[in-house]
Amino acid sequence: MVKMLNGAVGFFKKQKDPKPIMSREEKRAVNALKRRRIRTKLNQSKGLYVFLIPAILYFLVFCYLPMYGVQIAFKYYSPIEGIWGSQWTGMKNLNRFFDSYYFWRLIRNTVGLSLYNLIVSFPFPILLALIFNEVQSPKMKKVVQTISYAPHFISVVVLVGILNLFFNQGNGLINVLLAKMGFEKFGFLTSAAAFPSMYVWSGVWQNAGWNSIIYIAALASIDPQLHEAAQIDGASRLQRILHINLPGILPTAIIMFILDIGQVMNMGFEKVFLMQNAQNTETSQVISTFVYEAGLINSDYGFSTAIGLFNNVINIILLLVVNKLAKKISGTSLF
Amino acid sequence: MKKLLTMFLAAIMLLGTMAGCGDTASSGASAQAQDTSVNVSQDGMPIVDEPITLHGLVALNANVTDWNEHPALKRMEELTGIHIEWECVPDEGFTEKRNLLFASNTLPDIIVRAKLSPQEEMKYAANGQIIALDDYFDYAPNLKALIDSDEAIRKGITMPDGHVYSCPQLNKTEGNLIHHYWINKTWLDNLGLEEPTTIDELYDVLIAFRDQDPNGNGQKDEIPYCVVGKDYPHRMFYDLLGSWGFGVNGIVNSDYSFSWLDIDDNGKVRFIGREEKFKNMVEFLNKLWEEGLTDKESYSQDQTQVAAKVNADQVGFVARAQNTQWMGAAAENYVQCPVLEGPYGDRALIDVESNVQMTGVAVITSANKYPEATMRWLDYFYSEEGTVLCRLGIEGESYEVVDGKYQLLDNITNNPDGLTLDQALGQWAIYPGGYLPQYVTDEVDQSAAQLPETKAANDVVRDYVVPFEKVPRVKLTEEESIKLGTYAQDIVNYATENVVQFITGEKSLDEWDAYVEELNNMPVEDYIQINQDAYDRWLA
Amino acid sequence: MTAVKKRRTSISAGDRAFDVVLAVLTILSVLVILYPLVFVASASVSDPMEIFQGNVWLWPKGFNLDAYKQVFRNDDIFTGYKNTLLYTVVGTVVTIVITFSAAYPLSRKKLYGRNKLMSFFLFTMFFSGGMIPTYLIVRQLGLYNTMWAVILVGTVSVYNIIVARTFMQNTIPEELYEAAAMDGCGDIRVFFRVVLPLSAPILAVLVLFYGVNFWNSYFNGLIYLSDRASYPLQLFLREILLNNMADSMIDTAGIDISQYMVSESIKYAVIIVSSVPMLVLYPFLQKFFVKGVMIGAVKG
Repeated sequence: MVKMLNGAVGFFKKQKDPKPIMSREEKRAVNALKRRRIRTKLNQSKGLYVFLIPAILYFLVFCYLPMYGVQIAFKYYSPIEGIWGSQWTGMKNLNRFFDSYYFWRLIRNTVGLSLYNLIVSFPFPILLALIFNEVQSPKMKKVVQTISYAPHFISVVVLVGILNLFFNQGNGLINVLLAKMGFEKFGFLTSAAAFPSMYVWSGVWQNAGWNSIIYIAALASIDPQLHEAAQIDGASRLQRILHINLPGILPTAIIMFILDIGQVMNMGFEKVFLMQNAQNTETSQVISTFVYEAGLINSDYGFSTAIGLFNNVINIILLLVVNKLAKKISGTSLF
Repeated sequence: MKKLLTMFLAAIMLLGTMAGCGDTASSGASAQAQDTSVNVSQDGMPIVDEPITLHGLVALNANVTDWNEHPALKRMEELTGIHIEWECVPDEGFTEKRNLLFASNTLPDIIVRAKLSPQEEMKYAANGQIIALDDYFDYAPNLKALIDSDEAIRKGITMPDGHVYSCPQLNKTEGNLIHHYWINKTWLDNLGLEEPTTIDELYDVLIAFRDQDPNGNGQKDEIPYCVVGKDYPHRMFYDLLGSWGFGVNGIVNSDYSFSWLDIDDNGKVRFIGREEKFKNMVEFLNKLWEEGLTDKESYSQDQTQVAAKVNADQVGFVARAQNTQWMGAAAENYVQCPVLEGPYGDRALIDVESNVQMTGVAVITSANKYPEATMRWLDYFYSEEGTVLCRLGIEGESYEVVDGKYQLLDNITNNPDGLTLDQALGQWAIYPGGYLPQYVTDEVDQSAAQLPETKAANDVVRDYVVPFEKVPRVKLTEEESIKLGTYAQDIVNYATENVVQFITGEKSLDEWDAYVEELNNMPVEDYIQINQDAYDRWLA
Repeated sequence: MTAVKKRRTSISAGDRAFDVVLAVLTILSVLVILYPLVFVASASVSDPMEIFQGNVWLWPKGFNLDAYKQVFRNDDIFTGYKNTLLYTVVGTVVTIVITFSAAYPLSRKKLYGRNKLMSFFLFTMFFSGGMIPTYLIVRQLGLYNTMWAVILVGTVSVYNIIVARTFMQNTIPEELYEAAAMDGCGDIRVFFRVVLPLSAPILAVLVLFYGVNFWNSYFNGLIYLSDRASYPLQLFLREILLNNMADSMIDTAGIDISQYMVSESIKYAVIIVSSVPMLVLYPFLQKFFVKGVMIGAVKG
């Protein structure tokens, strides 16, 4: 019955363009059927909808409700008039952003830092996984892995704090060592040139171990018979790693890489914000920190929102593209 | 699993209570304010005939006790009959929170230590979020008397529309208004050198500091030229600007941050960052940097870090602050360096503040049902007793009067619990951190500005400082403010960043012309014109 | 025969060499990861002067616990710890409830409009209204300066919802639901009776994820809390570690730089004190979160 109905609906759908010749009664009947079908379906999962209420409420209140505020990207925001009452200014805020001298710098920094981060921090988890996988004793293996996860559990504030302690020019460990070896001390924390590397490599330290989890799991799922067969054929361990393990985790790696690309414009805020100072803004000013500065410090809300919106839109486009790509290559996708 | 289930249920219940708390906790500002018809007296205390309650916001300095429990404010309440419930936001992060309050229009009745720039003040006034105080000057006898007696004060606090929207911090003490540059006298003596009087001599002295081991520890750990530049990169050169003839007629800044604008000898506003003379100065600073005379950490260190270096006997020359208190024990090594004559014969110290030391320190919002009473509450701080309460605290607890002179008690200056002066005083007085309505005179001031060392330092520079009245306090109209808002920050950032790069050698000085050209592509002329208009208004 | 044997030994010689290389690499990575943490721990129990002069590089020099005494005497740290603990526990419970409230229905094939609902959640991952409107709503709800602002604003992660949903989809076969339905067990009952017990591993993972997140977060506190007494630990850490001391030269009676040296020396201890709970906790949950990350990353 349901199947037939489906067929009917499908039939009418297909016929949509050349308007189907149908009497009013027929139409009404079909619509009623449709409605009844939906109602039964809804009824069947009543409990599930009840269950959904907290989540829906939460997202409505804290995510969807604030979205009406995006309109101030096209307004001159006045707190008295409120978000709805403020004057429209059209594309003024966006144009101001596009015309400003830091526009390209922000794009360059945001994309540059993300790409640098992606390229550097991508291979390390794979390497770690491959190395750790070769540890023979299961106990040791677990210990090594556990240690490698540790930095992931440190907060951003503490991470940047550690960076400051290690790299400060006066008596930071690194500079003291440099001085002892006869080199000149270097302002790692204040150099615009050093900022991207400081950012990226500290990220590698913090997350390489954590991110290797997935590859370790992928390695564990490789058929042990492959290894046995290779061993009989006299393949060395290096050869087995290169020809069995690496190809074994390649699909995972490709998906991870593609998904990471989708995040290129989605630069995290907190770490950059905490690492920023007047001297390294040349490379450390990224869109998210700029939005914060324009909005919360300079209270330039329309402008700030406009930039945020711009970033959001780019993000979504990038994500859709990447998603499609992932689907094509591996058949998996986010949605 | 039962455990999990109970946890889950508990969580759902929690969620329920949470949803409930939304309605109950809605913050009604002065909910009991239906009866606004209290009598407010124009003189004498208490201010109101029956107690009223206000909601206040204050940026709390780390050294000061919570204002809800602060003895000085309790004293105020006893005196005035006005109870204020304070929301005390720490200095750190105050700007964000204050801005959000204005943006969401969820305002308290009064904001103290509001730290509003004139531009912000004008904006919020135009929004109708803060009220004109001059309408209530009948309730501000002390402030009004000061304004009437001193034209500079009136000019300094009046906005272009002719109204006053915020209380200022007024200061008549020389010791608080001149900022100095300090040179290590001990090092000079150790090397048998004279105090430098010109930029060239300074250079030679710095070289000697670098090479001749003035601290005598056998190590080359001396930092000849040290700057406290974190978040304020212009400090690298600000105090020397006068030696190149900049700022001698005053620096123009409408929001208390470095604007790159000064007044030339013809009364015209000028953009400093593209002048030939300024390039010469940048070359000089670049030379210092390249030759290892400048502290390479200058742009990232705050004053505590520099203080540590000063106390490690590593610093030769540092421009910072009105007095040497921040240097701690090492302060005795330092004296004010004579005002330096520059390569073009200019000689001035321009880092001085106006008698209108700060505006925007306290505002009354449109949410306030009792503006008259609030005005009088604020006005009290401009009386001598009020400023004493603010700066010295409670008589018998933190200060005493000896021979008609105010003196801090021993438990403040030499705290038995090892508290610093600010910490000890902060328990009784509210002024540590500044930004308060007050009228500071030498009589009521017990700060480091009154120390003999500070006075000696002022004696050295007095003939060369820009007169306090000459320091412009320009104000922009709302329209100008909005206009500038769209590009002023870009211009300032662009100039600052490039000059930093030129000084540190990250950019070669050969690129100076390209920098100026790019700068000229920005609306610099508009920027100057708007400030010129504002300056002319201030002069008039 | 001999030829084969010879080849074997030569291979194992090569393998042995490779073993050494691998061992070195393993040890090296572990050292690189561990060294900063060990250094911080050592420095925290060393004489501040020794650190200042750069004499500490691995083991403590001039052992003393003064820094820890300072930290534990510090009211801020204590307040922060207490608050963070509260926010972490309550926040984790609340976010877990919301996460499961979305994940479970979305894992059921019979849910009508499943894809639309999924998009409803997914969309929020990539598009947001911005800070001002969110702030306004938080104020209107009366959540400003309450712990609920810290706990609720932007804390539930759609990513985690997907992880939980995928887990349930993969581990709970449709037949189980059918059987439960035969027994007259409603969808909500099924969740508590069947799904939740079977989802214990993913619950553990999400508790860890959310817990870490709450423990380490500071931004909500910075924006939505105005009362210093309710600040979370990370906000105090920021003050202590990143030395953002207000530039308070404007009006002051005088400052004391001895404080500076003290604050330098307690930084290391503060790091240890604030990070230890998470570092102690996670190894116990390791076997769970390995699974959780897997699901989230691949099947998302």
